[in-house]
Amino acid sequence: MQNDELLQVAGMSAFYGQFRALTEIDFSVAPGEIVAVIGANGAGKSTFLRSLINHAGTATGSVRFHGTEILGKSTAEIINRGIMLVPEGRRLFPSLTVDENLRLGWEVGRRDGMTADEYFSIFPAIAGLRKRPAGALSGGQQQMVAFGRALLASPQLLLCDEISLGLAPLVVDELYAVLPKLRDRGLGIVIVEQDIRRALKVADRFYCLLEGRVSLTGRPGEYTRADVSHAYFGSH
Amino acid sequence: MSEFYINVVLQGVLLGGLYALFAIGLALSVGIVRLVNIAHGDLIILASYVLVVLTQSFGLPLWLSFLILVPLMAGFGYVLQQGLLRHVTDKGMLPPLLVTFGLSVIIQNGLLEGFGADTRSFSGGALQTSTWQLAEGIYVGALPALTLLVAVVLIFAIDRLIYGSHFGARLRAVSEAPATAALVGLRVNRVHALALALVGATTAVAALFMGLRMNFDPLSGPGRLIIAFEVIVLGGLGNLWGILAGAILLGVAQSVAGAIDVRLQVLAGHLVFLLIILLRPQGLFQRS
Ligand SMILES: Nc1ncnc2c1ncn2[C@@H]1O[C@H](COP(=O)(O)OP(=O)(O)O)[C@@H](O)[C@H]1O
Ligand SMILES: [Mg+2]
Repeated sequence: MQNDELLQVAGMSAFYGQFRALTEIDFSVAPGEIVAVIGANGAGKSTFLRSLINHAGTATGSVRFHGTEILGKSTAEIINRGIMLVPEGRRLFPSLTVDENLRLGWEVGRRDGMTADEYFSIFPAIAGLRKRPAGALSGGQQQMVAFGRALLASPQLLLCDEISLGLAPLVVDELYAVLPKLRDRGLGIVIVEQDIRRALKVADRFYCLLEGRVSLTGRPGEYTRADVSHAYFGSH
Repeated sequence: MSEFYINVVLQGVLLGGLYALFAIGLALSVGIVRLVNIAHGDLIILASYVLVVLTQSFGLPLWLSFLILVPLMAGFGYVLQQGLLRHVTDKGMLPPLLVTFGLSVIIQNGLLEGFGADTRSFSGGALQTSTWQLAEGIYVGALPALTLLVAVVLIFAIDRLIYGSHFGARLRAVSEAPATAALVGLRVNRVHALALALVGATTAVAALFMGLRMNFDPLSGPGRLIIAFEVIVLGGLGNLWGILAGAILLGVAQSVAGAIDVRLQVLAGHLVFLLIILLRPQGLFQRS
């Protein structure tokens, strides 16, 4: 077992009642690494991310963060240890202002990383909207706030669930341009995407999920498009 | 004659202050924790009996007893949520109703056991007897006026807490989307428990002014609950000041009806409530 890993998942399965959504997942992220998780709709990508912070069904196996077992710890405690999720569909509190949404990230987190000022220097477009209710923002602006809420929790491991969903390509470019900067600060980043091309362009490594199992993993250049497509859709 | 009705309406307005005190805690329970607390009135009565014990058994002055009561009830609210209510808070509509109904019965019977069925009240000395003359033939009692003032101050303070503080933002987040709150790492149970602590503190205020203004006995809780319910349905949950308006409306309706025929007083309040709900099911101050 490598000790330089930030996150080390071994044999993790996840269940919703009787239904097994994930089977024996082995997975790792190092500090300063961007790892993509790709897979078709329903493959289990969101379940995987949410299981890492104990917010999806019940999970078995092992999840080590900085070498410490965190499986079964509460979501609040895991987040406080340094894993934060940008949830699918953004999930802001629409009636709270942008500032209040961001501040909640700061409050639940470690309070030793990115500050609000730094965040606003990266996303200046949001700085003028601080007093607006989050629900009044455009989809792209909301995604930037959801991103900010996660960053202000000072994560060492950032989990991003389909941050490009439903957004204009220019906005997505802007969000994706931030990822390498965060990586250079030493954050480990997991991005979940259905858009394979975009995910593989930015990722150092990838995992492909198929019906709750890892069907392929490696470096983006390592496989042909046909290999990836086969792992993505299954054998049809 | 017109002075008579001005006095009647004025008294109704002031009575609304007391009704707002009954309702504010229930509004917080329903609005933040989504807990329809059937035992809310009984919590107020329980708090009143704690005041009875502190003043009569321990011989403490009323003001000191009240200062002790506030943290006691806040603590009770916190423990109640963490120990009991959190097991039903996210379980749909029925379980919280059943559990708080059970709690209501337990509180009533416990108080009957411990204190008997005699009615009680507090003595507030000159506060209860002084009246001010506002104009020729128009009077207000010091205590009812103070009650309304306290209600206004309390609503203002809680409004600022909820809409103007970091803690308030957490309360609103948990109220608006509890699942999301948990997903981003808020300790939802703890926030709920703190909300119930706030509710407990408001029951202490309600208990003090209720016991100064009217008699109570161990079975008085449900009557307070109905008032609180009608007030929050009239006022809506969107805005705390709506509670004050709903409470004043109910108070005026009762007061005016009572002036026409004393037997109508309580009934008229309920009738006005029903009428308004028929005409504006979303409450008076909620946009539809
Ligand atoms: N809360 C839930 N309860 C039951 N089944 C769920 C729940 N969430 C997801 N699933 C199921 O788990 C599987 C994986 O879903 P999900 O992780 O959302 O996939 P993806 O994010 O890859 O689209 C799907 O079959 C989905 O229906
Ligand atoms: Mg998903």
